[in-house]
Amino acid sequence: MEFLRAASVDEALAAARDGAAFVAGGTNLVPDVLFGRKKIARAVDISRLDELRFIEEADGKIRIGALASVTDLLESELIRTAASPLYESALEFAGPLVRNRASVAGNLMDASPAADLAPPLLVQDAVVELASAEGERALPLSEFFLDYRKTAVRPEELMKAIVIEPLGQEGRCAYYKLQLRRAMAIAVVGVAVVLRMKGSVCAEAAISLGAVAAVPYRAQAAEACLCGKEIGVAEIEAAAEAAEDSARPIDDVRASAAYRKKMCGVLVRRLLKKALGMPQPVAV
Amino acid sequence: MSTRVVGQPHPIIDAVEKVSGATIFINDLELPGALTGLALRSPHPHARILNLDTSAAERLAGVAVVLSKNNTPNAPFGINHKDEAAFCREKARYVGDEVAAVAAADEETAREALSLIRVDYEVLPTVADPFAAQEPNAPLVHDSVTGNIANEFHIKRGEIDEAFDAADAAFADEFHTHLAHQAYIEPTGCAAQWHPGGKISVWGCLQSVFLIRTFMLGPAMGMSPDDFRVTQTKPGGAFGGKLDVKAALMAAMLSRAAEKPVRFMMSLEEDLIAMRPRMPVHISLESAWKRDGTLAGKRVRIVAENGAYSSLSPAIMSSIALRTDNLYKTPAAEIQGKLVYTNIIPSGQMRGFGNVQATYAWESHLDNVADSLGLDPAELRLKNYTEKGDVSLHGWKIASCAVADATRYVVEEMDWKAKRARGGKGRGVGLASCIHVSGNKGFSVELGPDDTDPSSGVVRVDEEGKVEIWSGESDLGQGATSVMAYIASEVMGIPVERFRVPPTDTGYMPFGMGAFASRITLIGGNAVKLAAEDARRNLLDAAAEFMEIPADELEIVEGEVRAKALPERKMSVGEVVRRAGSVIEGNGKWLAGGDVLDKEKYGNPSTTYSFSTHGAEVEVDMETGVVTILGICCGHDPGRVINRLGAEGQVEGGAVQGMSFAMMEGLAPLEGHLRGKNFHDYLIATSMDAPPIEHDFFESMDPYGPYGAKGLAEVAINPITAAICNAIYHATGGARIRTLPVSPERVLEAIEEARK
Amino acid sequence: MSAYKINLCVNGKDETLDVQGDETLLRALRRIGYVEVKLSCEGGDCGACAVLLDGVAVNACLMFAAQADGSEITTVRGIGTEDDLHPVQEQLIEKGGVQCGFCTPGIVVSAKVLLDENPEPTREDIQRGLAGNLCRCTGYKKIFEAVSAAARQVNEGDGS
Repeated sequence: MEFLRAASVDEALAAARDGAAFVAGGTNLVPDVLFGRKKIARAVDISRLDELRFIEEADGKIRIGALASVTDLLESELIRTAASPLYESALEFAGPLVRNRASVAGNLMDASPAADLAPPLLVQDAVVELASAEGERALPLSEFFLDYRKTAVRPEELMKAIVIEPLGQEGRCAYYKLQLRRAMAIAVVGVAVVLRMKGSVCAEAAISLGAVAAVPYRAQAAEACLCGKEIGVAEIEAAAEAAEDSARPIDDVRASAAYRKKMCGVLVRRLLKKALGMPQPVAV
Repeated sequence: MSTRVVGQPHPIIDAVEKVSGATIFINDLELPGALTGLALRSPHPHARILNLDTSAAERLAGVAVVLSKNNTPNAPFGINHKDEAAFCREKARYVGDEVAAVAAADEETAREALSLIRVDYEVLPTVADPFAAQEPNAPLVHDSVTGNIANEFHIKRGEIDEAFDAADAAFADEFHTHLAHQAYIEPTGCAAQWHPGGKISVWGCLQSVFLIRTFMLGPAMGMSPDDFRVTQTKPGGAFGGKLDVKAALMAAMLSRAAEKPVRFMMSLEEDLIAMRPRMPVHISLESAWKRDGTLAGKRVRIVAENGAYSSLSPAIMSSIALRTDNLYKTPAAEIQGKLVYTNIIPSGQMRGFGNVQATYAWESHLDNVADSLGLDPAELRLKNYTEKGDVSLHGWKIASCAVADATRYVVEEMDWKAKRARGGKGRGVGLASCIHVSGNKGFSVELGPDDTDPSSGVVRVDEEGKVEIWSGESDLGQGATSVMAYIASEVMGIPVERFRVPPTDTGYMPFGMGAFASRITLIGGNAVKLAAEDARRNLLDAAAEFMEIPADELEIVEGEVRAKALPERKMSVGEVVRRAGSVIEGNGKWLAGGDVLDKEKYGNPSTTYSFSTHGAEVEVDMETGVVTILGICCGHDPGRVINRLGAEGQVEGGAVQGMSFAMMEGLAPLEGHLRGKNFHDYLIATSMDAPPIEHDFFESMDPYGPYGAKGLAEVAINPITAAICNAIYHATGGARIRTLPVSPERVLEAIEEARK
Repeated sequence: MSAYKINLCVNGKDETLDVQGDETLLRALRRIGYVEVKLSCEGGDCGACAVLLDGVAVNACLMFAAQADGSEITTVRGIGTEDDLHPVQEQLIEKGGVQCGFCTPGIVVSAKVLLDENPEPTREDIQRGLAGNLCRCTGYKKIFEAVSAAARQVNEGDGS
């Protein structure tokens, strides 16, 4: 395997050809190469491109550099206050040693159905900025994941940033990762919700699910049960049911498909109530 | 007896080198000129080897040797059944079975060589289920073993049928345990060096350097055990898994064939799929009771999963079958066991040696019984526990016992009565107890030289006043040899900083069986104590001559020989040795008590027995089944505590390891393929999962143990699984976990079943 | 396979070595003698290979050695050796936070940065800080106690 360290974004883009792969934190790619799960002809090291490592507020949005590490998310006051589901997911993400290296872009590019950062980014309407030698384009995260470990990113494209809508005053949110141990665990189910309230009416609802289909996704049918409505128990029940119906999980070593599906309903119901400050039958 | 060293908290004696990263583990050992050894493992659970062509691999530049059935003799070996060979002969019987091995100049070449070995397999139907395996038309794992039954027994003791006929109540339950790995962090490895003349040196992270020569290396290589010098490298954890280590055989065979040193290091994945993990068992229980909660009798049926080869599994099954009958006064019992071959990784011994599984089943059953009889589970146990002086149904002689004190402590410390009165609302408490051997005579017959379960020690004092202890037992990181140093320090009056206990080495050390069956503190400790007493006597005799004071008027204090009456008349221990002109030595040998069991498994297998009670408090999310362990509380009877810090470490480590086994672990076989092949699919407890632990010791002062000490390693892990499951039962108002591990999904299923 | 010459400063010592493009930092460090960096899972799951990379705690198995070119690496032996132990190491000894010792080099690395960043960690802070380092022997309790005690030791040392 050829190794090349890019000194700039342009240099990285120029090297992105002939079976090349970008390597940033390496937390997924390096063991994939070591154990032969991925064969790459050339690794283009972008881990030192500091211009891609930032978290900033711009034009009323939050812009997260592609190479911001998961630790960077945890150390950002902006993320903690204006993207709290993302902050909570970062807290549950692997362990400190991995968080120090793993980049936000890498978690998305790996395109695991269980990618921890995907559900919270989806509910804040994330858009990824991609660059290639031909130019730049913006791609909504909801169109980013095509299939199991397959993204809409072309091989020669480099992710530069992820832009999300801040929660703002009206944003009500909640996040939960169902896992088999308290750290260093792949999600059994990951759920994030954001409700943007106009008074007592829900203006916008975002519900996303991870590890229950080939890709992390927005549960639009569930969102439709809430949008434009005053949310009561009936709306929440309908949304939970729709979320459960939307899941297409598989059986694996962590849990059965049936359990995962059922948990989509349970957790969406619970997180909606939590976001709205409604009483819970059982504490999360 | 007042003691200076024994009973105090001490660091382990090799802690400094460990915290500074200076310890040399097997993979750190430099062996100049060593080749890299790797194995080709079967990708199929069950397949006939039609053709095996290694010629391309042999021709590859840098390859020294390729071994397989084609060029090695058929020399079956095995502890109970000679059902395993170095390499697959006609068939591969599990995914991971060694088909061939190579030794090459480096890892890359060795890997390429493996890829050049051509094997034509005829894939055979997989025997994955131990019940289906017993069906008349089931495929056979070993063609000569009909019904896939490796072992079978049926014992009746006492008036069992009458006990059930006369009982006020009888209850039945079934429990299933899972395939779980020891999951030490250090992957297993061994190295070997062939010497001209035919002798072989072997190094490895081994629990028993002496026994691996007799049960594996000698018979499998057609050599005498004495042809091997085996030296232990400090294991990075073992927990039973590094007793039966085929990597030693691979390294030795490759080295002999290549006539060069060979390093054979397993990857974590190889370790997870091809070592000897804890045996899964299916346990059916029936018990008969008087209305007041007196146990009248029990029936046990066990189907145990042997996997492809037997290793120690027959003995483990026996242990599971009989163990819990000795914890309670059991008037009668009927026990049936079947050990069944499957095309899954051979199962084996892990900390508890079956007792984790047996205790989980029986102690879960007891809480069901208590619930049905309307009795408090702690009271039910206290009513039936064995006591000092008892001879159990199976002939176990209880020389010391403080299990009731341990339980009372847990009850008090956990605020048991108040918490039991609540329950059923997602929060609950549970407890469980166990009994364990301190050494087991059975091993001495199966693995050792004879029926004596011996240990011996040598204590050598040098001219600088430093002391080296030679013992054939092994430290696995648990601090076993530190215990020896503290015992000898106590005896000899020499500060422990001056003691060194080198890793075990068959080349110069006296015989010891090794670290298993919680035997080292009792058996090895006694041998070293005798050796230290001998060395002390020899030191005093020598000093008596130089100081012209009778030996019985001398004592050793802080490394100095002093006249008792005139403390200013003194000589350092080093000076005594210098004047004596050579090292002053002491020898000791101790033979374990107890008997070899008879054909009906009757007898007293151990010198003495240890006990513990574990309690757990849990919170259960009734909608997701997620269980949070709020706290663990344990009481242990390890006899006298020698090193308090080390003993606490055993208890805390055992409880969390047991909790981890109960809650999240599993190799998760699916049609013969294991799914837990790395540390993100095979989960063990992280620091985030470690609950607060409170514990204390109830030191029963054993009459046979050194300073009254007994074994502790295994009582520290056995009961926690049942304690947690009983707490879940209490928290949920009746969700009984019958299959491990306790995944959220299983808990939810059990909650739903309980609601029906 | 292409080989690359890289420069590392390991525990204050300059090292120049040739690495393959796909060789991990863990394997490269061990190859040149830094065997105190332990090899176990090679997938970032156990933390036994933790080192400081320019002061940040990372798994050495999760990066290509070439990515570390020009970096400062600190292993457990750069934190403290037999004759000059770091308070974390001293307290791991005193509190019994070490048994087999295989995970310990990684634990020392994680605990050291934890204390550098948070001089008064709570039990939960320590649990979180060590979440990437598996220990199979101790049940973690004595490690937590050791890190707490080391924090006190460091703070008292600062005050004197």
